[in-house]
Amino acid sequence: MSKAKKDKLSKAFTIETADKEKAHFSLSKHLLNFGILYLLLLLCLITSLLTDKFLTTTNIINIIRQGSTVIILSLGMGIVIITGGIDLSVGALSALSAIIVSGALANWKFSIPLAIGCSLLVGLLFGLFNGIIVARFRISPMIVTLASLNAARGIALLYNDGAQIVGLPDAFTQIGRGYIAFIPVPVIIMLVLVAIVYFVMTYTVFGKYLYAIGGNEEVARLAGISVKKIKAAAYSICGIGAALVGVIYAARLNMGDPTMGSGLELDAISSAVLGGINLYGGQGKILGAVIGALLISVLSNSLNLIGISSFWQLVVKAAVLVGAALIYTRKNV
Amino acid sequence: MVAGKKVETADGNIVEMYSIHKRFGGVVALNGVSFKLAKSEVHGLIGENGAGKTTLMKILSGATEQDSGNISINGKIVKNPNPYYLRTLGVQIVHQELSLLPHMTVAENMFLGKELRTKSGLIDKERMYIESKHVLDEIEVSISPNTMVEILSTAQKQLVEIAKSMIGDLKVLILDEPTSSLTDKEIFHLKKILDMFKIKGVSVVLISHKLNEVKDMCDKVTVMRDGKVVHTCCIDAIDIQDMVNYMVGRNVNDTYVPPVLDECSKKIVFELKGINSYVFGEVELKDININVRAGEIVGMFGLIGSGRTEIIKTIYGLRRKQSGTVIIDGVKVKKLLPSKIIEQGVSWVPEDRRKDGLCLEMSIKNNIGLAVFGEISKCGFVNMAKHKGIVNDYMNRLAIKAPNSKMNVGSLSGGNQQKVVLAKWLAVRPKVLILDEPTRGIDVGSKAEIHSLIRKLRDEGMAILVISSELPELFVLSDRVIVMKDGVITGRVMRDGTGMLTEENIMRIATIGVNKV
Ligand SMILES: Nc1ncnc2c1ncn2[C@@H]1O[C@H](COP(=O)(O)OP(=O)(O)OP(=O)(O)O)[C@@H](O)[C@H]1O
Ligand SMILES: [Mg+2]
Repeated sequence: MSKAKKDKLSKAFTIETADKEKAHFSLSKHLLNFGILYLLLLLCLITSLLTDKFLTTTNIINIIRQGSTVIILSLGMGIVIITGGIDLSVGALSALSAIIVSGALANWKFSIPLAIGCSLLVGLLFGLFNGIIVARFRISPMIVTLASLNAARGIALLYNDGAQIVGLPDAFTQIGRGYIAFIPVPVIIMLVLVAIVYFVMTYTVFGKYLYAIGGNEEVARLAGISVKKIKAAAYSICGIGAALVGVIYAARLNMGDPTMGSGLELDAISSAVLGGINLYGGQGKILGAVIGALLISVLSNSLNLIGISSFWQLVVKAAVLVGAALIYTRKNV
Repeated sequence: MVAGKKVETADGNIVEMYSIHKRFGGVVALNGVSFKLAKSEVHGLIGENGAGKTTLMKILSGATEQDSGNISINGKIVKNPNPYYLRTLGVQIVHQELSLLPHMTVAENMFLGKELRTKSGLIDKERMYIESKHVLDEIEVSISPNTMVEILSTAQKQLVEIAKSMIGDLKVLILDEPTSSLTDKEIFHLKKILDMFKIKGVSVVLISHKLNEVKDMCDKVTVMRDGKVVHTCCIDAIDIQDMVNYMVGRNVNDTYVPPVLDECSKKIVFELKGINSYVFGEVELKDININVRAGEIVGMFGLIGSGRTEIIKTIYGLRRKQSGTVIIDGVKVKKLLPSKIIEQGVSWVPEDRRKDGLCLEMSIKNNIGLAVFGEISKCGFVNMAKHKGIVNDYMNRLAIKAPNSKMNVGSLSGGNQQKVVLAKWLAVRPKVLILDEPTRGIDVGSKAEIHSLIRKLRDEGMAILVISSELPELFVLSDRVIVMKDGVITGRVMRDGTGMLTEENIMRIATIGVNKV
């Protein structure tokens, strides 16, 4: 090969990379990445045109307060899904947590911090159990967390024979009903958690390892990452999140209800999917899940305000979910 | 983790492996292998598919544990080997099946498991960017560290893998078939990198089936057969024919044999007219016209990114926007869809076996049968006897090395996996056979077998299109060669008395794009 030819070859190599990179940042790609955000804004715009009850401070705060529990769940769920797993037990786990915190306060007369601590501990243990079984014994997360779902729901029902537990102290209910300045307490809790999780996912090695494991577990293992520990941690975080949601519910409803929260896990999964987190793992942004959860919340609020029946609401939600999934598959062309 | 016991290393060997044994269930992968690697030498490791090369190197890198035998590095015996620990000793491996995470950036991949941290323990993106850029510059790879790995070509990924191994301490670099998906240009680049490593005192183990490259790049060579080392010597003391003899124990004859059918009896069975396609709104293929006659092998050559595979993807309707006509045996394909094309008698052996070719968790038997089940079943019941017949036939013809046909394809050696993909599509006995890099990772002996099988199919009247980055392969197979560059056909080279089918000629058309034929 002549020298001139060689130069030409190596140049061709350079240009090829540069071009591909440019093509990568195209408008269509941008829309796919931020589509969910635009969808949310569009939905807000349309609803505010249709009804003037939407864009009021009270309503907005209301939406965010209602959404905050699903947002908290979607953080943990997002983390688990990013590792390539799934956690079906979160809804049942939050019911169990609500029962434990209520029982501890009403029956055992624990102090508020201790009671909350107990229920978070139970959440952690359930999550840890899920994570260890999934990672150590390589059993499908679907099966393991389905078992946990039944176990948690069963214990919650057994504790008080399926009855609700009432008579919680006023100071406790503030966690669900109170305000600091004009912001509801659950919203503040949610915002703090979103900030922490975002930080962890973006700036820490732990966050990167979650993606690496979801992307290719074998590659992660060969890179010397302790896959089992990271997975156990991911499910534990999810469990604690679920327990916290149970505490907030108990405080807001002023009782522990063993039947609450069924189907919450599906809302959390939908949020993650809407937000662009790949169900096969390794891909997606945690803030996407947050926006996904917000979208679900805004959607039900809008449909309520416009006066669409709750039966139709389910159909609309289904359509939105399938639509989002369709958009994300196009991403991979 | 390391016993303090010193082992005498007379001649400064950095790695010594003694009588390594390894079995996978009933399969003996390694049967008492000893291997020595000196400082700053490039050591070729060759052998037939399934000889145990990958397994030996996985053991050296800690990815797999040996059943018995010892490894010593720098004179110290390694106890409790694991990938992390061996990496700290300076042993780095680039696996046969590339292992980068597609949804992460180049820098993130390079530092996976050894991330740099700021004082407060967070990821230090800036320093990781700078250091990975530094390493990429050092090996003259002009890829930005912030590029997502998913958009890189195979060759670029390969280079990123090498760059990845240079993060941290690098004393021993293991390259498992790094060149099987590279074209000459990139192989030249790799050679330069290896020369640089040699100056820096890095030792390299190079596994390859391309013996001329081994001859070209290595200082020493070790030949393995059936889990044993059969020969080790300096590269000057052995020629390629001897290497082949040690590997397969017989002479291999692989030369072009002209087709038996004569010119005028051939009819066109596969015709592409005016194929265009677009990706992200940009032209990918422009006005492609190809025809292949019955009983003819047409070769297709082009550098990486020239659009060879894209043609096939386009006619299978896998592009968002495309146009053009495909005519098979005189019948126009109504819609470009995989099912329609397959229905009319086309088989395509894709280039990425793990992604498009195999169900890794399924048995060899079911993988081979997958495309013919429709044909050999009645009312939905598969004819077991026929299935078994086909499977046995192709396992023999392609010399697939496995204890039995019920084994998972995922646990076969790389080359044997490739043979299973081939078997699956050959079993269909299509009118038109499209082979995309058919012998990637296949040893010389089986390669010759596969080539003669392909020629036999041609003589039986099949129309065959072979895409390959290996010119020698195209020479021994093709009756003519089509050359592509940047999505257009830049030349067609005939095999006739005039000798236009030469390496020089094809390379010129592929790189400069002028057709003087
Ligand atoms: N995980 C596994 N489970 C079962 N058998 C295995 C496994 N890995 C390798 N083997 C077997 O061990 C033998 C040696 O395989 P190995 O991958 O080392 O071959 P190789 O020399 O690298 O071949 P190739 O050139 O095809 O890559 C093969 O017979 C293979 O089927
Ligand atoms: Mg191998």
